[in-house]
Amino acid sequence: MISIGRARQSVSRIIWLVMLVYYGGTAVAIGNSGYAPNAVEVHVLDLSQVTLQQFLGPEILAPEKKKFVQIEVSRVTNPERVALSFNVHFRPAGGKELFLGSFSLYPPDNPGTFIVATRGMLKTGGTVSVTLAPVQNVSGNEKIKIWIKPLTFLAEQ
Amino acid sequence: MASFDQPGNMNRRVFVRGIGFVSLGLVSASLLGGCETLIKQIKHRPIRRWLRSGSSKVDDALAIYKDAVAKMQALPSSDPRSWAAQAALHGTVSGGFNFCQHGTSHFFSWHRAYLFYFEKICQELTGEKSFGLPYWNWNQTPAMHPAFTSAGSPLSHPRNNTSVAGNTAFNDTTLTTIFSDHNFFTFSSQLEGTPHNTAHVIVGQDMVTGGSPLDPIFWAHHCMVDYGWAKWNIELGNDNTNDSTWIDTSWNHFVDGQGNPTTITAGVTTLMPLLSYRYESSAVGNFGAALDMTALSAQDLEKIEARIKKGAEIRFEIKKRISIAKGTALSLARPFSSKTRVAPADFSALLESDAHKERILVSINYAQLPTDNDFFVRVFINLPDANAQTSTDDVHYGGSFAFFGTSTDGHGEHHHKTDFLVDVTSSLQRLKRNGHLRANDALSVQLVAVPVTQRFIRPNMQLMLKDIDFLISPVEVRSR
Repeated sequence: MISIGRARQSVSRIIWLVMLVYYGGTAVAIGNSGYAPNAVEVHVLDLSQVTLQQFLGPEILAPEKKKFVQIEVSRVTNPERVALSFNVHFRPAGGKELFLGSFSLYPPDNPGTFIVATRGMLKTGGTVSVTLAPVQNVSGNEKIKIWIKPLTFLAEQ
Repeated sequence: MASFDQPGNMNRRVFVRGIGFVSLGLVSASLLGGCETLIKQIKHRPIRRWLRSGSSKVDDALAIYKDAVAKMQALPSSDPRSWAAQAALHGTVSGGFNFCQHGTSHFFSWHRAYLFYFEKICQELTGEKSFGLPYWNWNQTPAMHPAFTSAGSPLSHPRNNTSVAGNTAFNDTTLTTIFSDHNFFTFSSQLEGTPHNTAHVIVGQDMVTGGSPLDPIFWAHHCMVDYGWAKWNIELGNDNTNDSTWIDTSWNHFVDGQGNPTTITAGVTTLMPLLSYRYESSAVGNFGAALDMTALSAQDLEKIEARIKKGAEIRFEIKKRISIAKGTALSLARPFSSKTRVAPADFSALLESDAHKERILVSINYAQLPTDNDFFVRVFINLPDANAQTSTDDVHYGGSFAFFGTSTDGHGEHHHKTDFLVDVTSSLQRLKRNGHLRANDALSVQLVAVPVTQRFIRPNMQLMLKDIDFLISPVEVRSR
């Protein structure tokens, strides 16, 4: 016969073991599922989300000396091959939006890296935006998706 | 066979009957009767005119172009000068690009050579040796010339739009900005991505595909791109690159007016607007028709030729080379991974600052190029598990390179570089910002072969690598 005290101890130990296995196992599971996904911020544009914006923080040194905005379109889904252009703007903090330039994908499902001149307009605290602008009429049902890496800024080459 | 040059020596020329491509220096130094013919040929080389209504000379050029298009379309497709065969050099409607260069530093030079040989074919088939391809200056005349849009014209073709009017890619502000760039590479990139690409997509239909040369407007559009390069280089006095690898790149998939195979180098294309044809000048943006290239004297041409040959003083100085691996093999089936003795601390100054002019590159030098080019190679940093499924969105992704035209299926000899450079500076900066790099951890580099389609043609192929190195180098361009 087991005393109540020993029974409680056994139950406590069992509960403790279950918790250990549960939480310890979970910890192992997290460890074994690999690192947390490599969270690169990739902008994704489609017909419902046509604009990406990127803030120019202090980590971008001397933005007024950056000669180009570089836009790396890393992936394109465009099965209907809709003709696509992109407009690039800069809005200084508290200021009006300024048009910098545009580029197009050729063919329309071909990724690539593009540059648009800044003409010295970039300033810290402003925002650069890239807006998808289909060249032809679209119904909105087209399965267009554009992946764009974080914008980079090129100094005088 | 017409052969223009030996790689690496821009001063040698071979006289080719009907082409007349010779060094001006050679010509002006000689008093022989044969050279007088050459001088005459250069002096009377074809004029490429700016397409506009109301010019009888433009109308004459268009009449010849219509005749040439009809004759090329009548040739059997087995004839390399046929309309279909010439278009296929560039690409096909459903299949994408073939030999053409897009998004590379040879966008200008390859298309210049393409236009040159196409023009020779037009001259040969029509018998009009003075024919020059007209160009569509979409800045000055955004609507296509009526010859391209009239019903029943051999130059008409199914299109979505026949004008680029109102699009910002072609306005004075945009083009003045682009033409104000003094750097060859960024100028080329801007001209390609903005007005060139946008014209293709606005016109649409065949023009939006790799088979765009099937549309007769393609040649006038690319003639404008070529004129843009000539204007920037010759009229506005900017310098091309004098990088010897760029200059020595050659192509042998073109044919001359008789359909014979030819070889041409990128370096030789830089002299074509001086010796092989000339442009009727027109304004682009705020840059007017500053220099009448059709009326240059022999002395003027010599001075310009000397400047073009010299190119821009571009220096690529390797300040530091750190070996990653030597004499190793890359298996298509199994990615290559090598740990280095390099730590982020070795690059700390470069990784801290965007303002540094130096770049960190991975240099991959092959012992020999692969026989198949059905794959490209992705470079990763610090991702030993990288494989063909690893996304290019992954923070460890550094860049990629491909082998172009290395297959030996009857295209003849190619001159292809065996060393490739991938700039990994931004990738390393990104890894550091995201906390994936610790100062004294050794870096590793992975090379992953990825098939272009579903699978490799020869999955067991091994590529022998001579060296893989980290390079630290500033790339200085001294231009005006």
